[in-house]
Amino acid sequence: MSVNGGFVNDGEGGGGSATKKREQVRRVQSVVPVFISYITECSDEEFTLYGMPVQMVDIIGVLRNFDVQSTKATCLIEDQSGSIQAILWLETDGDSISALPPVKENCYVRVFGSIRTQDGSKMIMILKIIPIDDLNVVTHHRLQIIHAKVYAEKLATGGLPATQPVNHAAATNGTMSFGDIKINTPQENPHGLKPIQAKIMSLLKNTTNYMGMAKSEILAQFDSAQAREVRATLDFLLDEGHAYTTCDNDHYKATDGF
Amino acid sequence: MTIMSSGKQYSIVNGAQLPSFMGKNVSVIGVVAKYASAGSLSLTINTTDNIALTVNLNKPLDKDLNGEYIEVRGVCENAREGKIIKAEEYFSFNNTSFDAKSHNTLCKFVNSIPNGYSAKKN
Repeated sequence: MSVNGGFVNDGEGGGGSATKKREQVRRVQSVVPVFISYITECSDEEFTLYGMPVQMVDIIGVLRNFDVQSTKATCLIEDQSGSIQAILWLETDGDSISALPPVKENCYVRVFGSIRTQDGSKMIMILKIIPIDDLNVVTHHRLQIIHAKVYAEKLATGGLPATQPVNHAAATNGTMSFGDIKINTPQENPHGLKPIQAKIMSLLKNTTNYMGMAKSEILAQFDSAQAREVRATLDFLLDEGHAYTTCDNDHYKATDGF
Repeated sequence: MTIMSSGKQYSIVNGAQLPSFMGKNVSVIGVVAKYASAGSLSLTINTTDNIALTVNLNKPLDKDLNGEYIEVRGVCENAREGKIIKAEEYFSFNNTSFDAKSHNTLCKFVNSIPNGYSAKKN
């Protein structure tokens, strides 16, 4: 601590180490859905979810004590796990203050924001706040929280998320699957494709025809009730670049290297 | 050791899970089963797993409710006639349809993983 002074701070004496550390961390700005209790119970300067630094959070809760001042609005966001202070800076455009978000006190809101620590307690700098009047959004958000938590926990313990997910049997029934790698694409298989997409891709890849496979041939491989889904999937595979059309718009081939 | 600085914790539960949350703070989602006019102090809701609950409110309803999806936060109580929630607050939503199955899945997950409401390392 003695010789290093000035710019070359060894970290003991100030913010140097924190800055250095922050630079080492890639500027990951993923938005993580959390319960408010996850944030408030974290006593570290920087909020982490099982060691994964989180700068931006997505919370859904009830808006309380909404207090609008000249340059900012303060409020308390309360979900069923706890509550946290939040602040929204109002942009002033000359004399007029930008319109307040259409949110009401004591109603559900969704807040996207970054976490700040002030006087030892955490607060949210609101980047976006929107009213919620669809309960499905609340359920979906809560499922995402559980997914993010279990995923981060698995990552931290070194367990591969795709191996043996918690409650896997229960997870298979729909909106959310715990075994998936990508949080935002919950229903995909490990290759990133839904079952029907994967099936069509394997058909396209295995065709020996120079011109690829005709749409009618592909449709013949499926139940007639699935025709619509197959057509939509073909469009999807084209859009995503997994497949391309050959001699005309009705002949498909798989893109190489997939 | 964490003391919640403000705000209570409510467990997200469905009807079937209520018996194990007797006397505790719960958050229940259900559909208002019987017409309740503004001013009434009690509601009947059907939970996402189709269990009828009586909700006693701490203040009169400020609007008529019938068929709305609501979230009730309060304390689970057991009385002679069955399950009762002593509500501190309720929130009504504009849903015309609600994915009850997913909500039941959520209830199952949140109460079966260790420390659902906490992200602390054990």
